[in-house]
Amino acid sequence: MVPGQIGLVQATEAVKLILGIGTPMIGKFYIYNALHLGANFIEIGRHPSCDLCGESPRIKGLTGEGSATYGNDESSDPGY
Amino acid sequence: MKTQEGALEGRDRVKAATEPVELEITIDEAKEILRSGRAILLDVRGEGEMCLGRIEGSRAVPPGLLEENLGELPEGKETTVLLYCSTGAVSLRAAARLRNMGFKKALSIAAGYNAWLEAGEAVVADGAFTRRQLDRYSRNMLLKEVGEEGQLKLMSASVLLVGAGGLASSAALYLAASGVGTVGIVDFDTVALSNLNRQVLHGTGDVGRLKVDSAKSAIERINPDVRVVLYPERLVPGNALEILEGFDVVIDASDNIATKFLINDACYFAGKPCIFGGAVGFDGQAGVFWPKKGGPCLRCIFPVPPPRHLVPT
Repeated sequence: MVPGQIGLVQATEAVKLILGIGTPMIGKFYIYNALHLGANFIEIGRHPSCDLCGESPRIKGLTGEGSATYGNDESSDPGY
Repeated sequence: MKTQEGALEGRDRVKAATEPVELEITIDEAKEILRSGRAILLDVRGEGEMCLGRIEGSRAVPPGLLEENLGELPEGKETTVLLYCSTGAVSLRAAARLRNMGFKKALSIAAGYNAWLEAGEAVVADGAFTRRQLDRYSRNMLLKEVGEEGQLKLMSASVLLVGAGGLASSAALYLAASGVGTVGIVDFDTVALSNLNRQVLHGTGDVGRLKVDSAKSAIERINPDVRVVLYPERLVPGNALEILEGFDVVIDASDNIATKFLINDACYFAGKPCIFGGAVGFDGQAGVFWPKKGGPCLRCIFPVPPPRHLVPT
């Protein structure tokens, strides 16, 4: 049931971005716990030393030199 | 001072006030009256509601300006005046006010323009939408944040869903319902029975089918207007940029950490917003990663992907 709810949050964000309305969740991370009624937005800023979008990024592309490894090519279905 | 005469007058007054005055008519009755050509038709909807078109022959009058607009009606106060709004509520009150102004034949069309549209009756619209689209998307377009312009934006937008499982299920269904122009889906997997406790995009009869095929059926069932593009494969570094290129927005509906980092990175290089989502058990998270607009990316939060044995997905 929580995947359903989060999926809806994602769809709503997509619509907001397309229409240019409301406040998009950029820099605001939504954390939800259904069991204990937790619903919070955490403010998160861009990290200056981020490997991807920081001031001196280490990751320069998806493939070739300066790319990261992802290891998602083997089969995996952890159940969620 | 109460005299016998005064008391009778009082009883008559009460009787008159409690007798029902037929202010509302049905759509069929309205059509009959309009066919006779002897009625005035007033549209008392708000400006934001006009994007759904109007009934032919109607005159738009803001309900607050009734007195101003009808004070000197050349047709006279004996003429039949039909009023409509979106749902029949505002027009009913407006009809009552017209009666008080002396228009004895003021009538409100019950259930309003929305019912007229749903009943398939003829309307006049500016042509941006088909008749059926006006009806289908009316509840979107009536929202002031959406309107006609917003609906057109939705219909020309394209959203990519990476994954066709739990997160994608609700996202895909509601994106289809809202009228997004194109939905792309990336998923190499087939539907399993154990998916069905949460992946409502798929049904019992879909077990064994490719998830993307099942997703396409579900989307088309809701809204055949949506163009569905299928990628029955894994998202990998070698195909990610090419797949992302055709889309405005990417929704991370994947179920494993490695893919989440790949989606994040690919969106960064493609300059597209990545709508992150994760759900495990009773916990969920969501956010938009779009460094181009000043915010963080996934790696700002998790510089190093957590080892797989520590993270279920």
